[in-house]
Amino acid sequence: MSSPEAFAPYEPEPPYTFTVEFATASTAAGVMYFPGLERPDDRHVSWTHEDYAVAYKMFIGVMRMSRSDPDYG
Amino acid sequence: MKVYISADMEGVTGVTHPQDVIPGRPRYERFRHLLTADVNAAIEGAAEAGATEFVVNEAHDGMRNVVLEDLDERAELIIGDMKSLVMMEGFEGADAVFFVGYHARAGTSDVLSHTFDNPAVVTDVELNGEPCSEARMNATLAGLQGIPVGLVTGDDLTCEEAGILVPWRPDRAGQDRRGPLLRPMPAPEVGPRTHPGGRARRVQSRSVRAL
Repeated sequence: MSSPEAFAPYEPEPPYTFTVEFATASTAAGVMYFPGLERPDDRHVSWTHEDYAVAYKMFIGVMRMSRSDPDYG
Repeated sequence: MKVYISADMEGVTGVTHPQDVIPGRPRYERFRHLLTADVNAAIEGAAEAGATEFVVNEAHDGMRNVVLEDLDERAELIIGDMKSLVMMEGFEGADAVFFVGYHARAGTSDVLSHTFDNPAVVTDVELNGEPCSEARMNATLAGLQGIPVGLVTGDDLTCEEAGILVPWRPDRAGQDRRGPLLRPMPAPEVGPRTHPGGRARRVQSRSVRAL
């Protein structure tokens, strides 16, 4: 790393869509409290925002909310 | 030149099992020292390249893993998990971000692979339809503020995943993966430069932010 100018930032284009796959449908259901969240199927939730920082913080929030089912089976 | 280090733990030198990285488990205390040594090695390398400011952000589990008294005294340390940007708290204004001790994303055949949460809960994450590791989501956060990734350390799959984030390809992985929990350990290029015990430091002169 001789100079930061030698490295280019990673800059994907907007909008930014996160999609999270959970192991269970109940976990996906349990995070559906945030405005803008969609649930395309039982185990996936997704959201889109033009501002990546907003989408990123939504990811943190969804992770904080997610919880696993009690052990069963 | 200011370098920001996001310090995770699953990709630290010698880590191969959850017992190594979960607080309270018998091997955790040992690997805290190796984490700190990996971070110090990154700081030393950056300093040799001309960096003069160093911010280390705890990025693993409860985010209280680095051994403060062994941390390079030039570094500021951000401790704790009550942070709005979590793994990237405090990155703003850096000239480059380093990802130390990182790992591959959930669902991959890699040592302790996961994406943020327990892999038994979160099985996959995509960003704009493409697989998304923690490195990718964090590199995006920094990149959109004009800050490049300057270093990624972890095992070979971690570095392979990180190849899409940087114009240079990570040419050295700390360790080879051979399976989800077992791997050999060649001498890492970015590895411990200090003995685990470290030497006594004046902690009261250290800049520490607790969150």
